Amino acid sequence: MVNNLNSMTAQPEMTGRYLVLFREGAVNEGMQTLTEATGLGMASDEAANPPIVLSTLGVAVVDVAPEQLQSVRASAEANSAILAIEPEQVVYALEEPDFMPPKLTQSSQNPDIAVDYLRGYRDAVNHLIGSLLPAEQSQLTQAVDESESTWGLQATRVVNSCSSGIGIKVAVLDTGFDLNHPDFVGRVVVSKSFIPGEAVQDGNGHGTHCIGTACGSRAPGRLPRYGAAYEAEIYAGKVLSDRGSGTDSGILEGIEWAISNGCEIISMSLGAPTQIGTRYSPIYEAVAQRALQRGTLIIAAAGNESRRDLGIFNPVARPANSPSILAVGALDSDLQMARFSNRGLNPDGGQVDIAGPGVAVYSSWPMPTQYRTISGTSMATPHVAGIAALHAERSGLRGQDLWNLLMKTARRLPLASEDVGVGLVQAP
Amino acid sequence: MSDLEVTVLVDDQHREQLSEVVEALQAAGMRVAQCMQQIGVVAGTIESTQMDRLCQVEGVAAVEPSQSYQLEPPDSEVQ
Repeated sequence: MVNNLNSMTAQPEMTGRYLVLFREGAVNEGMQTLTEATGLGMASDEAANPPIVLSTLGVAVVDVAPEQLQSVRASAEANSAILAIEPEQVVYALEEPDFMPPKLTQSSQNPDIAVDYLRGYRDAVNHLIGSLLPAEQSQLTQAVDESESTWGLQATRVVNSCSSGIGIKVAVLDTGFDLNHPDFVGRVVVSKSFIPGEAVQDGNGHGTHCIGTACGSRAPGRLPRYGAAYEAEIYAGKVLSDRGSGTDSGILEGIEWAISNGCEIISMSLGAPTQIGTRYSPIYEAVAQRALQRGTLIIAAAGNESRRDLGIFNPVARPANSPSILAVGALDSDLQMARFSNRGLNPDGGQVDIAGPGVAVYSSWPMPTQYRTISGTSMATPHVAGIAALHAERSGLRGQDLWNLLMKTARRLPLASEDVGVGLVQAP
Repeated sequence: MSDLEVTVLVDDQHREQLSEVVEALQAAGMRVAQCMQQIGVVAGTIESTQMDRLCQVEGVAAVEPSQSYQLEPPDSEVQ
């Protein structure tokens, strides 16, 4: 069989010239090196165009034969004024899709460079510099406008999604739910308490906040919108007391209840700290595998035990450290790591799988407070759970297939995968 | 001597005969509180020195002491 792949692959279009990147503040020195090595700009070389020197950028564009550059490349040592030489590519201005490249002509006497050409040229220089310098972290300089929707729903593209989570059951195993919250009037809410002597009614707030993020209204009583799967059925399982405490047996009972009810998603914003070398629980792992086989995806918080600002990194908490439970790390609105978010330090399931918005997250809180803004991997987890419900509705996928889809569609970030896994969760 | 809360994982071969495994666990000294059919887990308590006996029960894949979980207080900034 003939492999036609090569002929199908788009090749960059070259101009025949070269971009030369100089060390900072060494443009003159670099040009001198270049001239000595190639005879650049000599009177005898009438055919060639004069070099274009962009001093501020520290870049020159030179029209020389490839073999003339060989000696320059060879002399580019550690301390050389010349950092890199690249063939110049034909590029199109990014902000003007209709722009057609003009014929690249230039008079040596009267350089008449089209604005469009300069724009494209700038993009090429940026591309060259970007490929040579270490990736700079993207910093949002402006605060996100949260008047209509929370930054988390914007960053995950929930606000752009056509899906609502309709027909999908999302279980949130937490401190219960404020069953009287005005933003959830008319919603399907199934609830059960697994805490002896305590009703589902949320006397803590944590559970109501998490349910708000995963399943809150599209049009809450007061803006901004803060919930992802606004038409999902809510299964509120109380496995943590009003004081915020719980045990494995209560959590496992909650998982059992959610699976029995056919919930496609289980969100667990809870965890117990682990140490370096802690193995995952064989019980949670088997339970999570059995859940996936039944079409139920379990999502859990990576944990908040780290203090990255102090150089302290702790491993992913139990039970998120089980290989078959999706572990969620937390990001801030600049898409930088939350200082508390745990790191995938243990092998064999102890990795962070994906990240979600987890700093300054606005969501519902039991009345009369109604709304609160808090941080934690607990807040990142229901973002992933709600978005998983949107994907489940849209794609019809369940269990491991749904897991794979979340991985595939996540937005890649310039951050370590041990912190964010595949990146920031994205709505369909 | 103290009681320990434990969770017991039943292996795939015995998930259909959960009640038989429960009987065997009780015979081994476990006071069973919950049987979870869907996930194949049994929860309860046992005298702490007797926990190892549960691992010997046919159909048991794993036994773990039940762990506690504690959220940060509701008024804390990070939860």
